Amino acid sequence: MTTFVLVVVGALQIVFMVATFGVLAAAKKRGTRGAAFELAIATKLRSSVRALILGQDRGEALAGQLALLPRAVASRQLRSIAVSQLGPEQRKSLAELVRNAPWVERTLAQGSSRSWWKRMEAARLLNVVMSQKDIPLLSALVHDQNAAVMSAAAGAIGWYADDALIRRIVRRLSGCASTVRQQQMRALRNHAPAATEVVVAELQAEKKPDQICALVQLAETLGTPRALAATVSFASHPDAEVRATVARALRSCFSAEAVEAARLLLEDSDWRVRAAAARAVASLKVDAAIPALQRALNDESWWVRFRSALALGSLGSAGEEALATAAISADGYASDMAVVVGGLTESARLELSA
Amino acid sequence: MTFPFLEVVPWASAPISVMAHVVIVYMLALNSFYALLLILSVPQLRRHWRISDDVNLRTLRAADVIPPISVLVPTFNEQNSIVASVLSFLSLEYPRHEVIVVNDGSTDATLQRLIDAYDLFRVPAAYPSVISTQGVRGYYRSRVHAKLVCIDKVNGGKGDALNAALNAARYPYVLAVDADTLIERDALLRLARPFLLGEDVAAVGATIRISNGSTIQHGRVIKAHVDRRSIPGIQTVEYLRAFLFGRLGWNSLGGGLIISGAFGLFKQGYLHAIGGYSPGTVTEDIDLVVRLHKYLRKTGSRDVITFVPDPVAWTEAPVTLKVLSTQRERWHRGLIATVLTHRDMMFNPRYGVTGMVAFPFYALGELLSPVVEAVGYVVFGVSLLLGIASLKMALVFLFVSLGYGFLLSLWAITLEEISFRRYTTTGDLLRLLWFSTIEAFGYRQLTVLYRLKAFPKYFRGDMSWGVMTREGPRAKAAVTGATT
Repeated sequence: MTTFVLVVVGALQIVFMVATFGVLAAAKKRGTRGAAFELAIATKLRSSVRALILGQDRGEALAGQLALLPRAVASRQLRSIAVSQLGPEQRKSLAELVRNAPWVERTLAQGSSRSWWKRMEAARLLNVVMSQKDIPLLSALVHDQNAAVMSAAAGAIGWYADDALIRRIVRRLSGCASTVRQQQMRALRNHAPAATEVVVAELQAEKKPDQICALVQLAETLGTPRALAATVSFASHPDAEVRATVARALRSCFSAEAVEAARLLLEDSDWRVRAAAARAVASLKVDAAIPALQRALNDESWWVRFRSALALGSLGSAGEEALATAAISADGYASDMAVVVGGLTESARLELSA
Repeated sequence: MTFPFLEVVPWASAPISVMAHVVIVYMLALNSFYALLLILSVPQLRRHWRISDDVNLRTLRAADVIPPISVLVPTFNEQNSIVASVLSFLSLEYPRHEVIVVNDGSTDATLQRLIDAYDLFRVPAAYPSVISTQGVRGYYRSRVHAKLVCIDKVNGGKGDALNAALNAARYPYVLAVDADTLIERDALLRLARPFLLGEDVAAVGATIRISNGSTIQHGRVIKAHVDRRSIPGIQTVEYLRAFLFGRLGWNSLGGGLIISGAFGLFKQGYLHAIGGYSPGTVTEDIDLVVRLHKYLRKTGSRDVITFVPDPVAWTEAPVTLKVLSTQRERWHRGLIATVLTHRDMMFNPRYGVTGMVAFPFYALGELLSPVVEAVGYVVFGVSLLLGIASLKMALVFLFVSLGYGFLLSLWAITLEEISFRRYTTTGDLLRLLWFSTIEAFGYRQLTVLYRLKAFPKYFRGDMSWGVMTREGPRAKAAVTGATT
């Protein structure tokens, strides 16, 4: 019995070991060749890239060379060149030249593959070669079930997006992973007028708190006065998360309504809202909020006291005076925080306020 | 051949034979579990490999959509290396990060070197003290690097220093690093990959590699090499095995129990919720991750503890047996403390896969393996001498323990060659193969012995860190772990 076990175990290990050495040798050879091949390709493409950058051609030579490469290599090289070496115009010109090349068509056709990594490759290439006719593909990829595909496709939104796609993206923002949502919101800045219309319309319809939060964040990212103005009415929303999101957005909303809303939110029942409101009144330079900020210096939350003190420090001489008064007041909480913030340098205050 | 002794005590034959069989079954089961982790790591590696893309990383960096990170750096008596270390942390590629250095009561010129190099000035304590720590003597900011914060405090140990840094951290994610860790420039960007995969992340672990033998310039590993000396060389193989499939395989099983204290990302809110690091432990990292697992389970959180293989940090391995002994004994003592402290997790379905698989593996596998292996050497030695076990039986033991271990090392090297290929020369590959071969003859038995030393030390209540001496370019002086 022992002999049998010994033979089986020994034989299995020897076979396995020989097989592993074989795989290892093959991997070593493949890896060395692969690295040399990629280096040779990059060197070969260099003169064509230079011709495009110097305006000697529109990218015809580079497009021709890419067509001769294996599809995966061509895609990787194109993306690398476009992202790190070309300006927007050169990139657009090259995209137009390669868009209808068979290798590009085949890669983009992977957008409907069952394998997520193939869809991701299509989404990545779309970031460079996106055209009007790719909107249906982009629409599918930005709402893919795999977050990595959604993330890869987000950059292409900035190039082309029609009203229907923008509406679809905005409506589904709250369901996305936070990183993907932020990528999509940033890409929508390239379509700010259309996106603003959608945000304003969507905020008027009845929504769940998480949807409102996503819309308010988008309004803040777009930074358009109309979109930001549409968020102010949610400052009195019953959900604290919504009020906190609005308070954060108010920082860039320069209107009388926003100022009033920020002042009211300083008295909110939730500390996150009060802290965000303190930042908002600082950003909006609301001198009238100084008494409320002084009261907030003995708030039960450390963060509200800290934000309020920083806000006072940013409100000119009147704010500094209020801070100095608080520093010598009998209220221990207020004086401690006033001393802390009063002792910070200007750059430290700016850093901490960011 | 049998010895007369056996004829006097014939009853010894049966129990020794049973023990020999138990040891063989145990080693077979343990190594088979490692093999399972290896198999589970392959799809994980493919997944990360597909998404890993330099162009994508550049886009990510420009997009500023990934969460900001506070880098926490506890230091103790690191005057020779601290300035270069901090500079390397400040120059990491990431859209938004801050570096919080904690001088944990150094008795040398660590703080003064920082003050001089970064033009530090005292600022008021503009941070809430959420977690209590040893007294803070002062907070400093830099006139030349807005991202740098320095805290000078009374010595309280690494966990205590990390807690002080945690109190001052402004960003939602914190990265705990050792001051002597060399982090690759784009490691933070790669560490952020789980966010792109849409995962809600409680903690992310990453790969640690051995820097001995590599070319290092300005706090970065320029060219990776395997050290020619056997002690650091064998550790290079060990680390490949541990990180490339040991930790990656756990992703498929609900996350492992270890995120290296030298390089691990955590959601700040969770660390505050569990009370931060335990100052009294000698391995603060495993204790923290176990408590985090517990907390996530208890609160029903869906956030994950995951491992990403390609962000790399480099650490210097011990080059002498004395230092290696101290390190391995301390690691094992920490493991014993953690397992005994959290023994309620053992086979507890309330903690899901962690309670039913991960924790029992660490308790019955990692913790007990040196004991069983040592018993195996003794039992087979005695059995052979007394003629109880045959030579064939002893060979089976060697095959299932040492042979199996060698095969796992071989596969770790193969995975490395297929995926990351950090060691590009044939000489390095041959050295890895050589060290994986000789590991079983002497080195492995010594590490078993070192780990065994942890048991009496733990039960004596000894919680000292011991002394770690460094020889690398950034640490010419002796560097000790923080003393408690």
